[in-house]
Amino acid sequence: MSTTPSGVGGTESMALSTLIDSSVLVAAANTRETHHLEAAHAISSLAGERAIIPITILTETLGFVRTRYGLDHHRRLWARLQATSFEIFPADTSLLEEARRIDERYADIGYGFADCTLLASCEVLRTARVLSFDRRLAAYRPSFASVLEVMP
Amino acid sequence: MNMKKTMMYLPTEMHAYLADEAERRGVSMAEIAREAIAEYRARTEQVPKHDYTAIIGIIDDWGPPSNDSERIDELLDEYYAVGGGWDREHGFVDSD
Repeated sequence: MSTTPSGVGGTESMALSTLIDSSVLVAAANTRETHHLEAAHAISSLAGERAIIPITILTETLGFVRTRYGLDHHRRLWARLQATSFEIFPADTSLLEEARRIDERYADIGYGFADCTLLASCEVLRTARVLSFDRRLAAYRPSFASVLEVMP
Repeated sequence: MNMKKTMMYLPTEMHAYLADEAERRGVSMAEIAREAIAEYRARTEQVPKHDYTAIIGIIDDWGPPSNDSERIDELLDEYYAVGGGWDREHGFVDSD
């Protein structure tokens, strides 16, 4: 796990970039999830590409795992995430401001804090590809691309 | 360009290939070696070999199939609501 400098655009990298949402991380980690195989395949298919988790999504994911599956699983997932090559994208003031603007623009959808910061990360990194089971994200229109590709 | 002298051992077949290729192109063997190293460096740095699969299946939770991953917001809201898991485990401070 490494940290992606804030403000570094995804277009500057030769590798394709994908942002990862909590829903796919949880489904890939938990064998009991109905979407487990789908999520595991999606995560596996990212080999050789940049897979980026916004810090706010990491916080949501680990917080959820702790409340739902207990401290032991929380620690195991945390340790595994540290051992992989997922990039962690930090949240600074400008990202939070962008997230607020998104929340206001899409108030009728009610994305919430974590989703808005995920979408703001898409804007900052110029990444129009997200792994998520939340189909509401597809309603978002990036400023730099015609659509936001929400997979799997 | 700053250069640094180095020496390396090559398998006979690789050395022969390098010599033939240098003669064919009219350049030095060192020039081809430099090109090969530059190509290798560019290729490996462009697409790092990432492995994200270490997280797959590490939550071996008992029970029936679930769709928690689709309801993360909802389940967190329930947990932190009055009477939810957080309240039962830690209790809310009475604000009255």
